[in-house]
Amino acid sequence: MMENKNVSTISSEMRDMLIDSVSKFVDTEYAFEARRALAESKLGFNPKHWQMFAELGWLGIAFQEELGGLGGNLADLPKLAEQFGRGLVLEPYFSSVVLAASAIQQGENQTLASDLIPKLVAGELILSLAWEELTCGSNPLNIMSTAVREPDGFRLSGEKVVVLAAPQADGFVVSAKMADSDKIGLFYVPKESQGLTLESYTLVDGARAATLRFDNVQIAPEQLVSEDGAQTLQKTIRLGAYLLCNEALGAMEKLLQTTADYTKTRKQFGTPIAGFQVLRHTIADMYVILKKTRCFADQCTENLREDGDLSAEDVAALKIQTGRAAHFIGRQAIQIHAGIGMTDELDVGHYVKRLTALDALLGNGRYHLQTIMAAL
Amino acid sequence: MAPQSPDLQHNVDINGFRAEVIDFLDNNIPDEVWEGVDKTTSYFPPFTAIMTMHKLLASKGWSVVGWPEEHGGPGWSETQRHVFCEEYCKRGLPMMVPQSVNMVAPALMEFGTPEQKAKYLPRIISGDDSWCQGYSEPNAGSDLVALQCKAVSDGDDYLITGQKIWTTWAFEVNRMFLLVRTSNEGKPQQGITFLLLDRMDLPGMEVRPIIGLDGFPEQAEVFFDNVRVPKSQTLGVEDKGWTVAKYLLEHERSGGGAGQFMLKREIDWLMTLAGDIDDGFGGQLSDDAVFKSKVAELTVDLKCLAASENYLRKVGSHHPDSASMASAIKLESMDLTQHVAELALEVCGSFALADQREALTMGSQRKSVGPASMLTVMAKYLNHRACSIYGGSHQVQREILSKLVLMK
Repeated sequence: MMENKNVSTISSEMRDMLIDSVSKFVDTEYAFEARRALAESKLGFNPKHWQMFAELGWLGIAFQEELGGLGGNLADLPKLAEQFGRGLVLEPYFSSVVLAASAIQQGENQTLASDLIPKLVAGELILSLAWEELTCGSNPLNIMSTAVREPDGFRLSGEKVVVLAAPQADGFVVSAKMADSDKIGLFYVPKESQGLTLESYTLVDGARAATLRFDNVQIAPEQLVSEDGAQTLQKTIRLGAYLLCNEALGAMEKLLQTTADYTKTRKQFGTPIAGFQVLRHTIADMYVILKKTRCFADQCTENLREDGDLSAEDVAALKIQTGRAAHFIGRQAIQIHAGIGMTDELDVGHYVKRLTALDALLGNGRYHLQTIMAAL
Repeated sequence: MAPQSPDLQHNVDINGFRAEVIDFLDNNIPDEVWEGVDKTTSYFPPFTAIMTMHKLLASKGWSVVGWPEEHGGPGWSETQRHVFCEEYCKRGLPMMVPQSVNMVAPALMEFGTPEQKAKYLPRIISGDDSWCQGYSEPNAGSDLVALQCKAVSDGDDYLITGQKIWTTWAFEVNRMFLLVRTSNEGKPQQGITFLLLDRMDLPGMEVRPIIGLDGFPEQAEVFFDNVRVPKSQTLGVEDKGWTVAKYLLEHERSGGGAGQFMLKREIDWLMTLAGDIDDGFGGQLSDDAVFKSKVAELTVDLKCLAASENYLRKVGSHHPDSASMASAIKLESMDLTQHVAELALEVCGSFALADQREALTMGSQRKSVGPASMLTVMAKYLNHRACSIYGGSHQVQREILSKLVLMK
């Protein structure tokens, strides 16, 4: 049943058109100085951009038409993610569409999905997924938050950390251990719920996040997304991680280009530094690691289109490899730019910070290595 | 730098000396310095913490422990200096401003006139003066001899016009030493002169801080527009500044043998961090075999670095190996610094992502986002990318080294 949901009705021509418009958006709206101003603004993103995403249908790409979407799925999003990576786009697309809404769509509560997703697609609702905890070690199932069943619903308690876009969101999909079954339940919790408090902060890449504290938050039965939501949560995080890797491709491509261009114009010892063998070899290594990562990511996209899902092992391997590539390319980009690469003024450091975040989010390479090790 | 004093060494009760150092360091450090230690995210600790510490050490006669006694050093033996360095560094206490104590001072001792030595050295010892280094320019980084900031003769003065960049703490210190071009004749290194500036706000001079990747200023640009400086402010001889600069760069590179103690502390910190983190499957990361194997690899690197530093200390700076060992140690200690910071980042994962600028500001009471042990992880990771850039980039060090090896 779930597989049927995942068949995309978006044609490759339509997908190309959508990506073309995303690419133009990045070119016109995400010049570095404009992006910097947006990152430093109070809200941390541009609501006009968000409305534009809604009008152009981007918020609905991954959802069925009956929910107001374009009838695609997450396999239609890797190139969009890559363009967002290229521009260091700040709008909370990932947390809203890729994490929270797709978890709701996969869940058992179709009434809730029919209520929330059309609003999200219309740009009226921003959502986020609250899954990570301080002691979970990046494992979404290793959590302490609990949901206690009550006559009129549930009572939710616990703490979630690094909840992306939380200050910007209107509501959250929250994971918690069911007190009576030890299963993982998923709940929809509006931001204004009694007993929910946020400690908001900015991340090094300019994104916003918060620590969420749930103190006996009352949950109505209609807010239950899934009573046995472990698989939904794992799939959401699996596909989310895959899309983060695609976003990283865009940032890495841009960083390689910027660095290669710099070696051709920067002169030392009377010659462009591109003439020095040691730097030429570094550029070659940056290219190699980017290309092999891209090939692997593209293969994952093919698998996802065919099977409607990705294996945990493939996603773990892709996340590990993307983290390696992100760090290698980021560090070498700074090294080759040298002093100027260490400044806030140049875009290089901002790409490096975003790539650092992309490795760290949804479990970094160190965490995912355990999946590969367990499969040996 | 100081001649070895084996005779003195025999007469000192080294255990008693160590006890004295420990007693002083454990009982006299003000909170402001400890705050600076906790908020250190770069090779350079917060400036105010350094100068507070400098003045405290000066009150004890310990601010310039590496200096020869004739210039105001404490007259310690090599072993005493090593013991002091170990006890000092393992507490994470701030190193004195290297541009003052380890760079311009040795150059003054070697090349200064008696008047220059008398004017500048005591004020470095006391902490009344601190210095910045005006070497790099926008188009003269690794290729330092390409520098263009010029000093034109005008009677008994020079008029300086041009720009310096990557001048650490130019906005904090009160003096500057810099390289200027006084001649375009001959080889590029032949027309360079080494100047000493008594102020950072001379007419025509402008200092602009540069914000780093961590969001704080540490470096600066310094602009000169016909800045008048008496020719008597030359250190050494006009057009022969490169000799002074080369002498000084060698002092910058070796790091004085403190790396092993600072890095030991950083590796211990990794274990502390990992003790605060769940492995994802019910255990602590500090017990995780994969993590521990990574720390073990770094520990092997640390042992080699310590041995290399000890070797260089033993053979001294005139040994045929000393130049290549100084470059090798720069490469190894900077790599290890980066690798520790990378592993800290890896350990903390998404918890390291919060922007901690407010909590990291000196004097701020703001608590860290998330566990306090992770406060510095991201800023350190970002700042330490500069380790393979400053003081001669890794590429430049390898060029120097390969030439030395191939010459043999």
